[in-house]
Amino acid sequence: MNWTTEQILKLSPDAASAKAARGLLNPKKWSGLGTNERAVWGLCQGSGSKPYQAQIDLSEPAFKCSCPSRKFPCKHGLALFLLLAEQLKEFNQSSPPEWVAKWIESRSGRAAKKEAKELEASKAPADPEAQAKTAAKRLERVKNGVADSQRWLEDFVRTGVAQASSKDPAFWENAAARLVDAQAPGLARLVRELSILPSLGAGWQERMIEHAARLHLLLEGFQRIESLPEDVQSDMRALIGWTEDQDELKRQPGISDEWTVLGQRTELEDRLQVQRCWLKGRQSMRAALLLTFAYGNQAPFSGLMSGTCFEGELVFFPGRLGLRALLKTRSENTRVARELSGGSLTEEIIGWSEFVARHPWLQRYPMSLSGVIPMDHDGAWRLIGSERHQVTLHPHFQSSWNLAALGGGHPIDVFGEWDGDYLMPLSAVAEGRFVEFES
Amino acid sequence: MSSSPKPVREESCWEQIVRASLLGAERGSLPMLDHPSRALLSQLDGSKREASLLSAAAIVSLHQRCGALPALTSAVLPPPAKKDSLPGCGPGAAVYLRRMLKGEHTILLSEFLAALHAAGKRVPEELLPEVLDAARKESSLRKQLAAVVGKRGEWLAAQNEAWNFVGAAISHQDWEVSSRADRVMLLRRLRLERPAEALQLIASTWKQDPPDDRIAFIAELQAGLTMADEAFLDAALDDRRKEVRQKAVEFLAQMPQSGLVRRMIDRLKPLVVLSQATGSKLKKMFGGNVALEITLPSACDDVLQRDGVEPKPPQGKGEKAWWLAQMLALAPVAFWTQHLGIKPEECIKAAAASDYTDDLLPAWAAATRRHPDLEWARALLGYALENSRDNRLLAVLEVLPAQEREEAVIKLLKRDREKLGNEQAGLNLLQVCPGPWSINLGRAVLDLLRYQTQQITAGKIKFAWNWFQQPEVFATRLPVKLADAVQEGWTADLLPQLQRPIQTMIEILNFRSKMLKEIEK
Repeated sequence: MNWTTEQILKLSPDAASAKAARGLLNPKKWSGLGTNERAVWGLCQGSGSKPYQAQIDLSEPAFKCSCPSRKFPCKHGLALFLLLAEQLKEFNQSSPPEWVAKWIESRSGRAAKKEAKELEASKAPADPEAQAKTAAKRLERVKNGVADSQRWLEDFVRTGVAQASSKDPAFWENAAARLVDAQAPGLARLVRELSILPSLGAGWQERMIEHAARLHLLLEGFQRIESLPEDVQSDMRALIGWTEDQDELKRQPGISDEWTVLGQRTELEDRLQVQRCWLKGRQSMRAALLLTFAYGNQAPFSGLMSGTCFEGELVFFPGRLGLRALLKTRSENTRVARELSGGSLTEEIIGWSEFVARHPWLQRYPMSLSGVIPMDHDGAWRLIGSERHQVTLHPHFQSSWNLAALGGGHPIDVFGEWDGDYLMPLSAVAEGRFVEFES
Repeated sequence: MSSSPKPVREESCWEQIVRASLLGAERGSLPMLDHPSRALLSQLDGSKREASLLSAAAIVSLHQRCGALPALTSAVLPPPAKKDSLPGCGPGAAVYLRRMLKGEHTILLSEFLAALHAAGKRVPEELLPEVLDAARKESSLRKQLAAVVGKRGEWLAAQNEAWNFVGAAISHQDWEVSSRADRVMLLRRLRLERPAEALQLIASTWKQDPPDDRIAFIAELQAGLTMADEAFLDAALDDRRKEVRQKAVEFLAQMPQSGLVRRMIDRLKPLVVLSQATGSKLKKMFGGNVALEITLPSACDDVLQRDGVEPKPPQGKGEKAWWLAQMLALAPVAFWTQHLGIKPEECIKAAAASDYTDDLLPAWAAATRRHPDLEWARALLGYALENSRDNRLLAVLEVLPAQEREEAVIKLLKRDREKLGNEQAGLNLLQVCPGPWSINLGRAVLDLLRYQTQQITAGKIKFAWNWFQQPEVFATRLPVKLADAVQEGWTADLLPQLQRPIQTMIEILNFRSKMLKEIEK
């Protein structure tokens, strides 16, 4: 895969690192630059006497550097990668020096070991008794957490939702933290999302009641989860915070198609950065959501570029919703996307309500609108469809003017996340040109 | 239960639930649930007030959501933008533009827009808001703006008050009621096409305009200045604000025919003459040394002050010599060649031999810049190069044609290589050499910087804070053809305080070079 400067900069943990890396883009600051199919390496003179050894395993990509920085990847790794993308002629095509060969070998060894372990694990689960014990313990904790949460939510409603906007941040945070302790991180997230509703402006009270009611529905449903259909159980367990065994999932057959990367958005959830990457299959017309997580200083990156299409196989998580998926295999080649294959406003709203009927807790629906005109009307930005319908853009969307400029009053195609009230645009296509918006 | 009474008020089921939830379940009464989902709702356990309220909210809201249709709009769409004939710039150039709009090397933004204009391309639509915002904050960017934002940019700007400087400016009728910035924009545009009308506008409200407006408006007269502006400017010599008076003096002094210049010449005529001993035709004919007889002005009265002479000298200067110097700076130098009947070189030589060298020569240099005169500029430059290397004299370089000017600067860059910053005459005069510099000048600048960094690193020259203070400006003026060369030839063990500005210069020049290449693609 050929990496572009833009793709590489997305790996940067923060803007300062990207800037620092750019300052190292002078080949004069490097020696022993080399690359082969698997790796790239080089020595960068830092403030110390010994130059830093920077190297990248291109198969992931994975970074390693001998500098003391705690950023990951560090500026040397990023700069090395940028140099490779921008000034390939500075690199010798050669076999790696020993310090690189060793690392790559250990990584391959590790990968092989991991694979072997997985294979073993798939054959014989390690001590099923102990596993069952752990699972039962967790279930007990979650049950307690759910009961605690129900009391909290009923208290909240008893005193009146109108007061929610004047609550101390700790009111929400403590409730969320208790749910994290109860090993129900999904529920904690739902509580945190309640806390931001007052910031969305007019009509937040109704939205608050609605979201609180959905949370209530989930907590109630959990009391008798065994009586519900299996796919609904999967959806509820995922919402509460149980994770799927992804290795196990990957072994299952998936859906092969040409997938368009419609848009991506990264949000911070309690120190965890979560990137949502939305895909759509050309033949299957199926929407898919890939999630990538990263802690702390690293930026999550799906490895996919918005506005490109690739051939690949996706495995969908179990459940009735059927949006979240894993990327099982993908082609190296990509092509540029020139359309979002969306529908009219009415079609898309109906498509969304079908999803809500299947999954009442649906938070974000991938909405592709074709032929809409962005306009500042009646105190908010809207997208106006050909049948004089409108949807309102999310109050936190920063690029409304950019969207309007892109359209120039002509209909354009817009992709975004629809939450039932607002659309958060992630990308748009005008005259065959794909444009991504920053979140 | 079809006969059950409806609630008195016509309130939907959802509205009842919202009301009850807002008030708090403990206070509000539970809603009467008349709803298509009543079969479900009736199963709720009414004894658990909060839980059943939440359940009812979940049922009713989901029922609504699942049957939702998009809202109808009352918006009236404005006419769409007309098609642009110029193409947008490519994605490569857009990457550089985006980086600048985010704050990286913003100093290059105006060059980017100019290059885009020259290449016949436009700003990509989705970046128009940031470009317009940048031009709102920095009015110098507005020059090429109309062309590079295209019809789309004009269409967009028409919808946002903050961008009203694009497209149609305010008209004459709005002169009195518009903001200062809008009025300045109008003046600037009008002054280029119909300068007299701009003057009329200024004069029409001059008496009631506040001082800060007057200062801003009078400054706009620089473009298209002619004798038609004289009467107005002469009256402005009596303005209450010093900044306005200074501008008036400056502009009147630029007009050789103005009353102010004539009055100044009349005052100067008797003050500087050839001395009797050397004034004879005979002496002149044989090319002997001429001497000047200088009489200092006796007073700086109100009339002289009105014509721009500042009575109080800077510290350490005699007041009468100071008055004379100011008067000299306001009169065209060509007058002296004619009045004294000798060549500029001789005037300079005589002045250098007088007691007032340090007053006469800088004043003549200032006058030469004000009333560009090639002969005088060359003579003063020749003198300064030979003798004082006084930066005030060397500044006449700006009068010379670009090539001659650059050659002189290159010469200066090769001398006094141990002097740092503005003390090095060549480096100092680069300020009057607008970019892009020729390859030769660029090389000479880099050679000197390389030499100095080497010497400083080796401890042979003492580092000073004023060494190379404006790497950004250098990088915007160096020719991009030197983008590769600028990376070479620096001594390996640069001190950090030297490395930082050098690195900045290299980075910006590289950025420029790549960005310009992308625009041409």
